[in-house]
This record gives sequence, C-alpha cells and structure tokens, in this order.
Amino acid sequence: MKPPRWTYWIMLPLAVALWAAIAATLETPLLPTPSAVLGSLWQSLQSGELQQHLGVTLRRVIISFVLAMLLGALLGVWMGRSALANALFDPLLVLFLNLPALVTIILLYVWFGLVEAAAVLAVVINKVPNVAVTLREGARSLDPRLEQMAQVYAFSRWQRLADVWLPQLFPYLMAATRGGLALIWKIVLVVELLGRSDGIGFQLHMAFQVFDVASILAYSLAFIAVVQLIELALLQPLERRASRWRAVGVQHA
Amino acid sequence: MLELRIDGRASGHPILGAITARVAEGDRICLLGPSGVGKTTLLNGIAGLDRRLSERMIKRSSELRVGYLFQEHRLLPWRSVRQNLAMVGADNEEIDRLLAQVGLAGVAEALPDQLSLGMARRAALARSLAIKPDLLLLDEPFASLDPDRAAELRSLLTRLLDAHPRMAMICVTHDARDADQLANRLWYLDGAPAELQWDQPLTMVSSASRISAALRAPCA
Repeated sequence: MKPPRWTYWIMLPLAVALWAAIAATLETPLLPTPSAVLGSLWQSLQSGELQQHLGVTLRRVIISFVLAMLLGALLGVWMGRSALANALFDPLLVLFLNLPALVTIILLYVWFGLVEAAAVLAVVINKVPNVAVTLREGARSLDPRLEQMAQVYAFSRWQRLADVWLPQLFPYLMAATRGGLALIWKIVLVVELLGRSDGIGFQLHMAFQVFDVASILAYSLAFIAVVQLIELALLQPLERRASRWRAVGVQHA
Repeated sequence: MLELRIDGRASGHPILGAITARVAEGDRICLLGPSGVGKTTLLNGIAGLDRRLSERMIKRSSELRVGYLFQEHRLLPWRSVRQNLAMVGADNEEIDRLLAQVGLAGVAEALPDQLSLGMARRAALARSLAIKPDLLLLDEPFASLDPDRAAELRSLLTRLLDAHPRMAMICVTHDARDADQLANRLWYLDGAPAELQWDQPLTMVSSASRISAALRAPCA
C-alpha cells in the first residue's frame, strides 16, 4: 500500500526543528541556527559570490559528467558486446573501481600540476568505471531477437544504434546518470578543495579555515537544491517521456 | 530475381544434415517436421542469420530480399506500427496500402504492445511485405491464434500470395491444413542431423487428409 503523500513531509521539518532547538540552547557559532544559515546564504547571494562559485563548480560537474558518460558508455557497451574486449579491460576496470578517488586526485595534481585539466581528468577517471559496469550490463541484456530482426531487415548502423539499442539501454543510462551526478559533484568538491582557487569546494575550504559553519551549511544547501532541481526539471521528465511505451505494454499483459 | 540453393552435404552442421534443395520463383513451400528438428534453424540460415549455415550451406544471391515473419512479432515496441514499417524503407503511401491489406488501417499510430497477438502478427506480416521480398519466410504464423483468427490469417495470406505471384514462400507449420491451403510444394524435415525426408509438389486436388496420410507414412 502506498503511504499518503504528507508522510513525505515529516522527517525533514522535524530535523530542522531539532536542529533549531539544539542550536538555540547551545548558542555557539559552531552550530548556527537555521535562520543564521539562511542569512549567510542570502549574504553570499547578494554579493554574487554564491552564483560565481556555484557556476564554476557546475561547469566542472557538467564537463566531467559528459566526458565520463561518453567514455564509460562506449567502453561498457563494447565490453558487453565483445568477449575479447571484456577479457582485456575487466582487470583494469576492477583496479580502477577500487582505486580511492583521493589517490587519483593527488596523483594527477602531482603529475600535471594544479591545473583545470588535471581536476576534470581526475573526476572522469573516478566515474568512467562505474558507468562502464552499468552499461556493460545493459549491453548484455540487449534482446538478441531484435538483433536478428535488425539484421534481416538490413537496418543501417544508425538505425540499430538509435532505434534498437538506445531504447533498450535507456534505463541503464538513466541509472548511470543518477549515480553519476551524485558521485561526480561530491568528487568535484574534493578536487576543488585540494587544488583549485574557485568553486564551492574552494569556498568550503576557506570557511573551514575560519570555522565559518554557517557558510559551510549555506553552500551545501545551495548545491543540494541545484542537484535536486536538475533531477526534477531534467531527469524525471526525460525518463517519463522515454518510458511512455512501457506503460502500454502493461495494460495488455 | 530469386536464386536460392541449399546444399548441406559438406556443411558439418550439428543440427541440419545433407539437405539439398532449390527454391524457385513462385514456390509456395510448407516446411513440416517434428518440434525441435531444426525448421527454424533452417529458416534462420536462409535469412542469413546463421553465419555457419550461410557460409557452407545456403547459396543465395546477395540482392535477394527476404521478408521474415518471426514467431514473435519482433516489432520495435517503442515505435508505432507506422514507424516500424517506415524503418524498413516503406513510404507513407505504401504503409497505408499495406496496413489496409492486412486489415490494420485504423491502428497505424498504435504501439505494438497495444495490439492483440493476431493484430501484432499481421502488422509484422505487413512489415515483411514492406521490403518487397523475393522470398517470404513464415515461422509458424498461425501458432497460438484461436481457430477463427488462424483461418482469417490463412485466407489473408492466400490473397497476398495471389497478389504477388513471383514471390516465393517458405512456411513452417505443424498443421496439414496450412499446407493444403497455402502450398504448392511440401518439405518434410526429420532425423538427427535433420534431412529432407521428402520434397514434393502438391497438386491442386490434394486435401488435408491426404497430406496427413502422406506425412504419417515416412514416420511409420
């Protein structure tokens, strides 16, 4: 049974209320009240700092996300379709899946210096193996009966890709996208903290130096809000549109 | 121009043995045989889906256009019936004509999963005709249809075959009535590895009972 909709709105307000109560009793700058955090958020909005750093971080997230999805999808589909490719790349995949993000970031900064390319590359290297593993599953689940159909009716390469493969891979692409966004923006913050002079990660680093907890919380809230916005405004409508055909199948089954 | 020869004498295929046969223009062949003997394997080979078979056993000209009605409809479930036909190169006018022929004029914009089994199969049949085939392969086209729907589809197929006298057909079936109504030639596949136990023409006066009687003979 589906619980009523208002149940969704219980825990978050409760948590905020609890936070407000504790902050009010303790009265310490190390735990600012919710209104102090909102005040700090408003201040950095007014000064334009928030937008600037948010923009820089978002740009890094988008660039590394697109690169990681492209490379990971290509590698994953290739590995799912070719046993040889799988045998060749699987050990590397296991290695990179278990390589801590921090190690990649440090090594790339050491080798290439504290430059933008190293930062983006570090994020991409961290994400590609996850995308590849997900898309490998997708490629393995491609319906061989539709492959035969496409062969008999001499579908072009483009038709096979866009009309036969893509709709079948779509749920896997969405899974990789969801997991990807969540993971990538967290890694981007670490990359910024360690070696960039702008972006949310850098701002968090500065706030940490002076124990400015209100700013730390304000920046985090702003970023969570942006990521949720992407989910609601972009991913969910896309998913609804692309899976419309699934719903009709259920009526008939 | 139809050119298709099957020569399995040196194929070494695990399922299909030393089959030799020729298919010519206008041949209407019903392929009978026990379940699991390799009828679908043979169709796949003719359609070019089995590399080993197409290299060693099937001799077909490269321009041969094959329409294949699979056991399942195998339409793309995320594309409408019209888009599915357009995918194989039919223009809108042809699509409307074909769908009218198979009695689906009203559901061109429907998704395949919105159709009943019989309708989806007719839509798939329309697709196999949309590529203007020299050879039409049908894999148990009447399976899991109720008797009325099956009879409808049989007479539809008869009309379509009459409209395309040069097109050849190979139809896998278990039912002698199909052979009686659709075929002018009968293949019977049996054994392991499978061989054509017989390949003979059907005369117009043959009847279902005679075919059934003849089919029992080689098994007995």
